[in-house]
Amino acid sequence: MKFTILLSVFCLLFAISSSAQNPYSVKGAAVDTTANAKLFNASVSVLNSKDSTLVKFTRVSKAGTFAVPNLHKGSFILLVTYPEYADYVERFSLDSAHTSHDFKAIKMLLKSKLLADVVIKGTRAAIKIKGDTTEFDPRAFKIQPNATVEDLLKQLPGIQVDKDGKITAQGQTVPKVLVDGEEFFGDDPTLVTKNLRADMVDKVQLYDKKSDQATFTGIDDGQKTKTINVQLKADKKNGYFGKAEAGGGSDGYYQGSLLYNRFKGKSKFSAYAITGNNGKTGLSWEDADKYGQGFASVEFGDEGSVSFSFNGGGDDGLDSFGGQYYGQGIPVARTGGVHFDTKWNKDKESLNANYKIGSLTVDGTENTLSQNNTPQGAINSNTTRDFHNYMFRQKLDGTYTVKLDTTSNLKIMVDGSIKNSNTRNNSTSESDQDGVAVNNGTNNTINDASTKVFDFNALYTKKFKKKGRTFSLSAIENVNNADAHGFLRSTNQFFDADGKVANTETIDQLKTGNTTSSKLTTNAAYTEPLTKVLSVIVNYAFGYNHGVSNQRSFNQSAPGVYNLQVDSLSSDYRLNEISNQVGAIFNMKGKKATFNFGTKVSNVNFDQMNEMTGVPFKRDFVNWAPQAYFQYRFSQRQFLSINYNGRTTQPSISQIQPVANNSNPLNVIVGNPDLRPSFANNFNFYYNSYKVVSGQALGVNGGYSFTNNPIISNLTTLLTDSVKGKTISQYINLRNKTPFNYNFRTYFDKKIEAIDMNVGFNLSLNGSTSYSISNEELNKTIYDNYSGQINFSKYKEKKYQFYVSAGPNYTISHSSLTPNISNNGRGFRSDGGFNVYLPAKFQIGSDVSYEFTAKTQTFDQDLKKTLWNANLTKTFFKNDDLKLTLWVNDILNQNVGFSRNVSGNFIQQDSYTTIKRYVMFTVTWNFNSMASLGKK
Amino acid sequence: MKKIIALTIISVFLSSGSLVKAQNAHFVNSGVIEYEKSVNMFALIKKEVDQYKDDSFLEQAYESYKKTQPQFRKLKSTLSFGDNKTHFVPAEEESRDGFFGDNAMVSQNNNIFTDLETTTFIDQKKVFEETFLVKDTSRKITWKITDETRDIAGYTCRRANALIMDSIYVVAFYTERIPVSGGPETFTGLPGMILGLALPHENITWFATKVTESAPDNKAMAAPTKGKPMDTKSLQATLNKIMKDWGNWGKTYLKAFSI
Repeated sequence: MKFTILLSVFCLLFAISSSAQNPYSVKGAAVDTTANAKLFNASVSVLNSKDSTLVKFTRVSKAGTFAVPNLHKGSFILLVTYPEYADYVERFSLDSAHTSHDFKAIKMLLKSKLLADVVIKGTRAAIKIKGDTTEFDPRAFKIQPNATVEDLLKQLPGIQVDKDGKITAQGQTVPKVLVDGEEFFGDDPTLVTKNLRADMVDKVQLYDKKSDQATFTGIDDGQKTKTINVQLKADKKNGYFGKAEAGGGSDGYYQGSLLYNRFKGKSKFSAYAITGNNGKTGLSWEDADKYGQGFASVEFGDEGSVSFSFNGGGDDGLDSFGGQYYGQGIPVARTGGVHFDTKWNKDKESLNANYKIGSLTVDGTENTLSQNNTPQGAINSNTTRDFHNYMFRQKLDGTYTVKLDTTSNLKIMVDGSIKNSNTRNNSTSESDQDGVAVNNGTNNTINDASTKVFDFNALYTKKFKKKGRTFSLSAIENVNNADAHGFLRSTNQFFDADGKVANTETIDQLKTGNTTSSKLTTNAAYTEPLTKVLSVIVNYAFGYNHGVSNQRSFNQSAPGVYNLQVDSLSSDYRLNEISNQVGAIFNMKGKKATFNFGTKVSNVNFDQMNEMTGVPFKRDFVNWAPQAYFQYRFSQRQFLSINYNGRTTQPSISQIQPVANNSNPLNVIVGNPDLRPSFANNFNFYYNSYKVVSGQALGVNGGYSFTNNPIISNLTTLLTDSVKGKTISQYINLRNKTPFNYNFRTYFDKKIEAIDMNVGFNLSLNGSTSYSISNEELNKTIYDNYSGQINFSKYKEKKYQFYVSAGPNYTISHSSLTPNISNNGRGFRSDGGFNVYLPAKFQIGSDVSYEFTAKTQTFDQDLKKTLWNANLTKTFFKNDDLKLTLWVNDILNQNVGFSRNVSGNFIQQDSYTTIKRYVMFTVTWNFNSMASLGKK
Repeated sequence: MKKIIALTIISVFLSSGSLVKAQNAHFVNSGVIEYEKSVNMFALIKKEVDQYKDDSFLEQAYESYKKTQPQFRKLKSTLSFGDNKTHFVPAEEESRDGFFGDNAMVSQNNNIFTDLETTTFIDQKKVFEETFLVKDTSRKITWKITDETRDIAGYTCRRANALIMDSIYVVAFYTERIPVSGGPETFTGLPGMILGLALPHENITWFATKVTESAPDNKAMAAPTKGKPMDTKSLQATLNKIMKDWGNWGKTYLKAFSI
């Protein structure tokens, strides 16, 4: 007995000592006031008195008691709650003197009972209301004479009682506030500091002050809580921005541009002017977009699908993508434009209008080496051509869009343009066979042309109630009128085997032409969802094309008087073409896979009348265009797609019944009225996977196409001395052969941790096998190109970036008629570049590309080209508004344009003048009315 | 003594009505909660567009999006709870194509099992093409209790505010009628079950749509097991490594995957 007591004392001592490590605790019990019933599971929370943050919590046990150990020194609030009861709130402190607090039995009061007491007794100061009033005044809470406690409860949702019996109640339910459709939960200022609130400043003020900036519409959302819906007024954008740039360089190169954009509310106005002779003939993508000249717009479909539509225009010499000139020769460009767009009627209607004016002059020299493969051997030609092209154009266009109602839209586009051009070509050529001269000559042409174009385009779309059911109707009318006036002067000499002139041909003619056409195309399309996954699009299109083409050639009757019409080179055609097309495409969309297939078929009636000879040419033909597409998405960034499409290609009018044309006297084209259409089949597959976490990209893609019943060139090269080297070409169908072409590409790219760089490689193969007839023998031409490349790159935002890539390539070029001549060749290509941010807002960059093409039998010179450009820029002011750039183009002065290709019986290499080395210094100034507001 | 007893008996009779009410409070210890996550796409996309103020292409895309897409994107999930443990499982979502389909804040990346007794969790977290199995102690959230209340799914809930990761403001509504300190995703630590949760500055909310009381279901409560083992620290290190070169855009992803 004594031992047991001792043991218990020991245990007690131990218990005391262990709790001495953290003696701070509270305990108590919670009971219902009237019945003394234990409130099991009542929630007990200990909060920091200073900021109401939760420290610890527990639940009342079955025995009705609770204990919260392991607290710390400080001031706290005890909060005890139970459903339907008033919250019990008591403040207490723990310190070294008072380490534990015993609340004893906390008496919890039913809310309804509490209020019943108040109402019956009419105690005035008994309740302190949070918010406006401090005394409980029954009248303030609209209590009817026979009101029940329940009514009062509804108006006092939250009730608290403390140990002294003081009651605090919340006066009103916090209303639900929606801002721009989203629920607004007031910010707690102690948690949400100024920094976080930066973007919500307006909204916070709104909630507190109910400012007049917004409109209020009370909405009853059926949930018995009144919701306030606040619509923030859209930011009123007002301001302007723009760019001015001027640069001058060596060798007379210069460039200048001025862009200005002003916006006010929902309207925008912009203007630009560009001039230069260094290859920048238009706006870059970025600038084009900023200044309203964007060439594409994006639309969202129902399922979140995205489609890009390209705004009319396109590349007509004045709008070139990227602002870089990729053509041959040296250009001088001056372009300008004005743009205006605006929205009104709650954004339901919008207008977009543009006016562009510009001129482009290109001068250059082109040299062509070609090899004509005949069964009797190859004839090689060398032609040098000087050209001068001038073009002046004006265009005015407007687009009006209106949202007729929630389900239908109408878009109307109108444009008109006038274009004047002047071209001059002077060329000299010579041909030889096995080193023996065959012919030579000169050819000069001058041509002036004036074209007027008018387009009208209307598109109506409607969505029906059933999801996925849509209808669209479009009508496009295009009117085109062109006038041309020019001269052709040429002299050609033909040699015999001894090198003596066997024949001379001279031409001196005036050429005039007038073409007018009016083309109408209408298309109606209807989409119907058949099942949850299957839908079908059916369409009907009607087209009517009417045209007149009048071409005449005149010889001189007296020097300078061209009035002798050459009937064999003149024509007067009237054309009517009617086409009807129907199509159906089925679309199946599953969770991961999409499949669509279908076809379009059109029937064309072609009716052409030669007014000069009275000979009609009528033709009816049917075109098919089947298609099938399959896509499988393994995951968000990994997918495979395969597609097929087939197309009937009708022979062109110039292949069937060409207008006699002697602008190249060495080549005569003869028509073939028996030509049948060919049918091309294209297969493509595409696989791509990108792993974000491992920074790895992999892709494989390829395609194969072949043509049935192809239309090929049938070339006859004349070999008699008086006309040696002249060719007569005609087009015929080839029934038993199928030309094809293929391409295959694979690439792999990965971020390598160890060296913190991106490394990749790619391989590509492409080639073709084609057929042609030369002097009645079948010629099979094979062209294959293989290339591979490895690359390295690294990018550090605002610090530096560099890239290097290099790889060899090999070309096989083979013609069956000349098996002894091999034009296989190897090549090598390498590119590299870097850009570094230097201190004091300097940036330096450079890029190099090296290209090597080995000589072949026909093209007996190695081609080597190293293009090295460098630039140094310095920016000023906080937003880099002023920029000075010094750049050198083609430092090694090696730029030369050239290309090699194979076509029919010809293998040829083109080289032409391009912009070479120059130094330029530019000043660019960006101005922005928003800059002063510190926004960026 | 007799008087007291008599008085007690009388008062018991008098307040018998309310007494019956007092004992009727029903507490739910195990069951299943269905949540609906709602993301304000218009606000999220506007933030992206505002970052690139001069890009009119992006702005055009945003205008077109507003015309054809609903303002809120809704995603479902379920939370099974019992024995002081919870298991949060997001419902499978269909992939979204389109320009703005890939927003990090939208997708539900966590399949998370939490043991509230030991305050530890096992989270099967999907990060792009990888799956990580993160095991660690639960995030310690300092909740500020308020006396604002609202009704969610038939339960009266009390509001609590908090700040996580030093910059994300959280508003939670918990109910004392479910004495389990759990909630959706990784949010725990309140005296009752969280039935409503909002990240106001990220434009995301979770609200319980249905609470079903039932016995704990062992299958539904089983912790997830797939993924590359990680702890919170190594997860942060991995995320930082991937997104360090992504600039501002990366910060959004980092935030989304850390919640």
